[in-house]
Amino acid sequence: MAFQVSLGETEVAEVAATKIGIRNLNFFYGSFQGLRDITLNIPEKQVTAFIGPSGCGKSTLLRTLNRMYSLYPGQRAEGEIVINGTNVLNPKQDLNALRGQVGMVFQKPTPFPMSIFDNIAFGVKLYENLSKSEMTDRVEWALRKAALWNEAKDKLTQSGLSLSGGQQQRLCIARGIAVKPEVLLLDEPTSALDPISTARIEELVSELRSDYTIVMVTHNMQQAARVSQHTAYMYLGELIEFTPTAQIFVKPQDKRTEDYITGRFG
Amino acid sequence: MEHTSKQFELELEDLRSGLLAMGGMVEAQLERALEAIASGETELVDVVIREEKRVNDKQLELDRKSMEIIAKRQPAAVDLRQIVCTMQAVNDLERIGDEIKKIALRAKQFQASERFQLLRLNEAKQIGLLAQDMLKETLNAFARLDIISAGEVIGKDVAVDEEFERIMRLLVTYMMEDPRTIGAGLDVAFLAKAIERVADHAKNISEYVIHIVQGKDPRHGG
Repeated sequence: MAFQVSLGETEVAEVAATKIGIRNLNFFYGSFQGLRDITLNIPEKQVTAFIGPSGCGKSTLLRTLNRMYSLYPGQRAEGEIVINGTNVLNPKQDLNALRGQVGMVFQKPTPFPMSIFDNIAFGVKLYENLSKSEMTDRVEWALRKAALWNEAKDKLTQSGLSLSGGQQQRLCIARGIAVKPEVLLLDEPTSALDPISTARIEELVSELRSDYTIVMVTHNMQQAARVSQHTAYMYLGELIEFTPTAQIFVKPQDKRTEDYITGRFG
Repeated sequence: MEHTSKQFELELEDLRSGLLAMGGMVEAQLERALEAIASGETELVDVVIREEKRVNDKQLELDRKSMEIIAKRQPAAVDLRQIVCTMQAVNDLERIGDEIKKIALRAKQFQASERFQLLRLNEAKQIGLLAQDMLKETLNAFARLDIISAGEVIGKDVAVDEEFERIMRLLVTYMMEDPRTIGAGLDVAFLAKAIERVADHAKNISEYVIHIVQGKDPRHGG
């Protein structure tokens, strides 16, 4: 499926294949409807940002993509989320396989209370049977990808909790990519970090985009403007606008988007 | 809808009224310069030269304010367009100020035959009125963010260009007829050119109005 967006009348934005096709997605927390009829194509190997005020459904949408919500009773999704030709909302979907394919990093760094090495090896062991040397290589590869190798290589046996907040978040990203997913979900990955750590994570996201499809939720609109190629604005569970980022911050199509990003909200 | 941040709202308003104040200064300057050409009053020329410095100071002040807002607020969408276009409009107004100074200085330098004096008065008056009208209208369009008026101003620039071409043809015939009139002819040509440039800058400002409101850049036929 080709993904094409018209920018103005003549230019055409980056053209990419669709990685995640979301069709008529509705989501319910018990009787409360959190998402309303969301239809959206997330392009492959690009960064897509979800923005919107608190409670607009952006995190909910992110959590449907790897069925994180299935952990909670009473939460259900209707519609389709198609990844590689498969509707992952299908009850028969293997959730372990899905989460290997669609990794996630959370708002607060969540290292496991174990060594830096084991933090990364733990997830890999769930999906693959690697020899000791292969595992060592994989851990190094993931730490290098996450721009943490130089800081962590001499203390791989130390606890993951001994790292700084920014390093912990990069460790979580390393853990996320170590299982070689195709999609990486980032739920406000820098909201608990200082500006320098934030800049490093943003830099990392820009680099990872050549290998992964990245979807991120952020409250920081400048961050969405800096790192994403496409931005979705959500409000009260609805998708209001999905536009190339370069366009949405200069000339949004919808008045509601404009009011939000210019700080005229509510 | 207003910004949640009242302070931001005030800063944008301050920038907007600053631009309009600068526009008012430039309008008064054009009035003086054209009057100096018509009357030959050299005191008016001195006023124009003195006031031009104030226009320049206003440019520096508004550019500084714009940069402060960008640094503090990271404006987006319509706010971003408004601030960037204001900076561009400030630049155009400052250039108009420069052109007006050139016009005024011609009032001091000019000495010619009675025939050219008359020609100069008539032609400068015609094209000067057109440019004055465009400057006034473009500032109104900016004040009200009125894209219809802005479109009209852009249309009027064609009339000014045609008027300028007509003056050039006229001058060329005079100068070919009698080479002794070349000095006086060039003087009128420079005068008309400066006025024509005022109209061009007025047109630019109307293009920014369209960019602010519609988000599309109409410059270069876009």
